[in-house]
Amino acid sequence: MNNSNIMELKISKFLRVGVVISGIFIAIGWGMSFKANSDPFANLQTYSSFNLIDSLQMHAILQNWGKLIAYLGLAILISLPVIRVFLCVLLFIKQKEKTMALIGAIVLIGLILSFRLGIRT
Amino acid sequence: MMSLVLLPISIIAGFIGSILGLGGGVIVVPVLTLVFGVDIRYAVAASLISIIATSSGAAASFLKDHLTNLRLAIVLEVGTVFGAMSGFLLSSSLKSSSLFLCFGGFLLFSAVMMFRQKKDPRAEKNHPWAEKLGLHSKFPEKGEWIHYKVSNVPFGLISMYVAGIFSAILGIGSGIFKIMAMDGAMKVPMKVSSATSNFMIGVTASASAGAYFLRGDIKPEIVSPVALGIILGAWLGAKAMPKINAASIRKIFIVVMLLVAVQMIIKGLKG
Repeated sequence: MNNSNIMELKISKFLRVGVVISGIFIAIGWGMSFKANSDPFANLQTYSSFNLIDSLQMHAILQNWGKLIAYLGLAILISLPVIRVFLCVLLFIKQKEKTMALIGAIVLIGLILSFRLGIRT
Repeated sequence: MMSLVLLPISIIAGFIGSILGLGGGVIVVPVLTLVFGVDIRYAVAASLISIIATSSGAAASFLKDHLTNLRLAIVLEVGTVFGAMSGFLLSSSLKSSSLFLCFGGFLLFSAVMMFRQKKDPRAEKNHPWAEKLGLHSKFPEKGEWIHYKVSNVPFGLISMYVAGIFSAILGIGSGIFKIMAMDGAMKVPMKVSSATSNFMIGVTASASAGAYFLRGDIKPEIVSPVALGIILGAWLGAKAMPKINAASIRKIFIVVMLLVAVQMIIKGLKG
């Protein structure tokens, strides 16, 4: 196995550890907020726009720590593929593969732009 | 109590998805909408989270088996990420009824594709872009290394863009489109296209999941049991795969998919 394969494998193992860590946060958060929330589907039958920042502020005021921990776990999980692409770009730069590094950077920019759409709309 | 019921259902979804090579989205979205009456937008967002978890969790084992083509994945992710952006924007203007109709249509298409006789053709020469970027590679089969080339990269990129749109709108991994483009048009060996697709769906799902998350559509009360159940189910499915007759499960699942497709279309038509 060459150096490049070893690096790729390290990146993937990092992803697996990341999934476990985020899973732990999600499980703890869900467990903590489970008792307080007896009918979670009641408010989700119809769609209403309530952005993340407002939700976080509301849960912080209500000291709903379980929800906040679950949100942290979800944020870690969503950011894992972004970190993976970033590490791949670094790997290509290290290997002096300019074109592949540029393509990886385009994917990374696309991901960031896509995230921003959630703030705008 | 109701959210506790979601856990075993998601474990089953992850288990079946893992055995049949499907994302959990095909199961999670209909269950959340048809059984629990959750708005389809929340169901789509919850499903995307479970896709990231299964794709990221499985990446190491596929890379270890030398089946994932990382360079090809990065190139094709340009198409899927920008497709996911378009899909997210498009989803904002689509009504729930249209989403149900799209999902029903996708299930029908997937069921038909599962009947398809699978071929595994090989490219004789690289497309110029594949040559320049070094996208050709090799994979192990029956104790020896099989070298392969990659053709029709532009068509692959366009297909990935479309796959990205469907992923964002319907909360699916779109693995079925990705594999069709890779082993159909680009003539990448089937084992490699499956592993590379699994590697890519996490990035595709992340593009739209990040936007849904910031918009507030990802609700921990449903996403938590779904994500945890899918992770556990996919892990159990991978362990059980050698001992299970996947062919008979596939036949049963095709019938279930057709029934669910009809239900989704009826719900879409009723508005």
